[in-house]
Amino acid sequence: MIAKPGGRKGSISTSSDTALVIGGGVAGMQAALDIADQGFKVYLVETTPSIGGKMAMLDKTFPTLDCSACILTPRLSEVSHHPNITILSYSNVEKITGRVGNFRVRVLRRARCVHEERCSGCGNCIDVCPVEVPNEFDQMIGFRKAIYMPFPQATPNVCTVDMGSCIQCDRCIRVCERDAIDLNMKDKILRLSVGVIVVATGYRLFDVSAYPRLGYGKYMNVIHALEYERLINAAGPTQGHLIRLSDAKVPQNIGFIQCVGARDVSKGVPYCSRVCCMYGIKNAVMAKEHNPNTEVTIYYADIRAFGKGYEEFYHMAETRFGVNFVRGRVGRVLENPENCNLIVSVEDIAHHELLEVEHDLVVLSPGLQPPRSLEHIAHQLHFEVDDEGYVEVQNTFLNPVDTTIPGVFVCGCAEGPKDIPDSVSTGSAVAMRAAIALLHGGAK
Amino acid sequence: MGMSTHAPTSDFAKEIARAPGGEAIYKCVQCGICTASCVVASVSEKYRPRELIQRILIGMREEVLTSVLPWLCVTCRMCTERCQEDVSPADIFHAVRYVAAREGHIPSVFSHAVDLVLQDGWMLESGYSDFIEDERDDLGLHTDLGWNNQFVRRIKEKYFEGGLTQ
Amino acid sequence: MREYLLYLGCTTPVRLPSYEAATKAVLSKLGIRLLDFKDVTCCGAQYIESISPRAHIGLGGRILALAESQGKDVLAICGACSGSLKHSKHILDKDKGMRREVNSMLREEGLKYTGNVQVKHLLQVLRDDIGYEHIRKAVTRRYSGVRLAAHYGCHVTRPYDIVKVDDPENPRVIDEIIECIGATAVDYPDKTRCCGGPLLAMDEELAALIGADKIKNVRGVGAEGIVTACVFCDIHLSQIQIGDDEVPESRVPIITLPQLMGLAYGIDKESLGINLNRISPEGILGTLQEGVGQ
Repeated sequence: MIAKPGGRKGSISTSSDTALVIGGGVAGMQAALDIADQGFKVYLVETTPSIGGKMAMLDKTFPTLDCSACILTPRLSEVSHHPNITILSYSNVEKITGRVGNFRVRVLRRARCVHEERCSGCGNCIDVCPVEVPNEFDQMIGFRKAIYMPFPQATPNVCTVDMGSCIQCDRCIRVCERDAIDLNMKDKILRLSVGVIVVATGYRLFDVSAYPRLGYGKYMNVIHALEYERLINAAGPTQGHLIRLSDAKVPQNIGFIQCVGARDVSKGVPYCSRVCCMYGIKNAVMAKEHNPNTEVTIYYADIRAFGKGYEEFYHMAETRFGVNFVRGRVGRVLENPENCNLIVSVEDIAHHELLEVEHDLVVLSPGLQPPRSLEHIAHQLHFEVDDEGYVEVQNTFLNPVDTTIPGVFVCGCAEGPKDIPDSVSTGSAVAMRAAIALLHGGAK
Repeated sequence: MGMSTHAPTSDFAKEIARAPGGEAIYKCVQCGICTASCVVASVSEKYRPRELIQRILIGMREEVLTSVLPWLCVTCRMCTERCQEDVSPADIFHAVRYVAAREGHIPSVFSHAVDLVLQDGWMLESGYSDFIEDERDDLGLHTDLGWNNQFVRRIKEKYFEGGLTQ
Repeated sequence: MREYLLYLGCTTPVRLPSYEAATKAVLSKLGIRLLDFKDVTCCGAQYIESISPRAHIGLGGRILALAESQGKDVLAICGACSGSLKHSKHILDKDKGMRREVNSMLREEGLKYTGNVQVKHLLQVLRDDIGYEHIRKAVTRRYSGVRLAAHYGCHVTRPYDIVKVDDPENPRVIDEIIECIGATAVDYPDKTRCCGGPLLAMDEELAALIGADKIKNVRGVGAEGIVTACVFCDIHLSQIQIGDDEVPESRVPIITLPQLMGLAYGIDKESLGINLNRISPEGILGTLQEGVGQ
């Protein structure tokens, strides 16, 4: 059964004019838009309830300190309204067979127990739901209901029911004016025929609890960068108030630790994650913006500020915002049991001093890793992955967005850690490659 | 360390890289995590593993080989565990000790311990008093410890003749 | 019955024979037979190791070859010895040239190292050969929740790649055993730090400072004793507390793991050498409750 793309009544898509984009983050979205703008149909499959990816979780982006949601939201809207794009969120790619020009894809549409075409995203159901569970989008700080929308601009702008937490009290059903909720909804299988596939599965953060010496998971006031991001985000669990998790006090002295789960041979991640220096500096600057009197220190081995405006941003962080940069990797973090402050051991190399510094908040900057879902996709498509688990490209210099399988392309962090501009660039690049392949039915 | 000029050279680093334990010295990025983790550094003003490796890398051969610092490492290997570049400062300092010993720079405590082992086969022959023998007896333990003192002669011949080390 | 050749090292038989006695008593009760390992030499840790790495491997290699010739594995109860022998084995296993060199020295005794021998530390034997279940079941007198701090020492758990005993940043074996026998294992700052013992040779003052730091951290969390699995650590942590200005009551008792276990198994104090402990662990013993099996 071939699905009809949204918005074009009566037309049947053939595989030679249809693309599949796996992953609804900023790279996948860019690829989808650029392919769709050329007249092709696009299925955009995303495993979470909404497209937007990690960028939807961020507060500000480096080096411009633009509001991440403000840049992203128009794109979410564009993707959602594009006649050629069909968003299949809360879905997984289960099986792929075939070859360029004619891939056959089996997609599992997981039951969100809400009819997408009926739900208006009004949120009345959320208000009456009695169940509260930790909120994944907020990195488990703060709560969501069993029926929820991950964030206000979620796209599609519909609710989803977490049946694992739902107690089936039916309060939501009673209050829904559009009869959109169906707790008996079942998973569905969708079979698609597409000509090309774009892998845009993004990244996951290194699990920093692999470093017991840094105290994450043991001490309440040691958090990682994405948790920090949600705390400073106005749409986050604390409405943008940066507070300590142990006592809700505003931190006066923050320490940022770089290279956690990056450039570490002993943890199997010897590579540099490219973006952590910059997002670490961005986070430090944000701490100063929130409270100029806060002491903010970044502990690092090297600062890699490689891009346009990056070195200037680094310089500005130090001179204009007063962020302290200490060259020296942190040995370990201990807790002061009286006030839950943290004591960081570090050699301040520039000043030849071995220090024990007390901070009231420590933020770890995790490195990036391939997402777990990538392994399954690689297994289905048989493209090569490198030693680190990222997608290997056909040729680093001449074919940097083609995978080793014809008709399958890769963009964004699925190929390797990269920042938002680079993710978007590769998104546009694969769109062109995909279009060429579709035009030639796979012959090119 | 005083204010004197030093002409950097990579010869000493090469020498250490060739000595057993020193192989990884070039991987060091001088990040300081070893010093931050070092138990000796935490109680001493002068002992700084990162700085000592830096001195090797820039070629301060005489200073490092005659220094007591490489002998202060307790080989607790916290640095080895935490180093993100797979360098073991403890092993590098072992390589330094080996080279230093070859040139006759050995703390007396070390040479004395080595002498005892090469002579008796173990370290505490002189410490095994009658009193302790009785203690062992009371505990139901055998009193003849049965150490072999012949093999160490072979060891001495092969590795320690003509000075304290070969 | 699992058998091991018990490699004592230089220090234990002379400076801490109670550790030897307690190990023998406890392992025997738990079903491990320990054989006397005669005719060995010092393993070469610390001193020979620093001056001549190859002499070090030579000494270790002969010890391992001796064990191999008897068809048994080696149990080393001193942390430094276990680390040293494992290191020697590691080198001999991967460096053919070194193996040839060592074997040529062993030929006249009719010994040869081929790699068919394992080196274990006490903690490995307790966890892997005996298991926590059995350790718990053999208890006849439980400690009623006395708070104890585990000190692992450095050479037991590091470098992980060679010794492969426990997570070096978050070791659990001693803590688990403490809990098995009814006491409460407490965490404390810088738990995995060295005791400072090896520095005694070069700088007594620094060694004492390091040890004192550890005692302070342990006291700070209200622990009533420190449990050790290395002879060097045990001696050093006891010794530094017996200074002129240390008030006897404030001293933290140091007790070896087999002694602690032995008491819970109903083995008498004399056999475990408790009277030889420099700082009396009576406070810990006092919490033992009779007849509370599992």
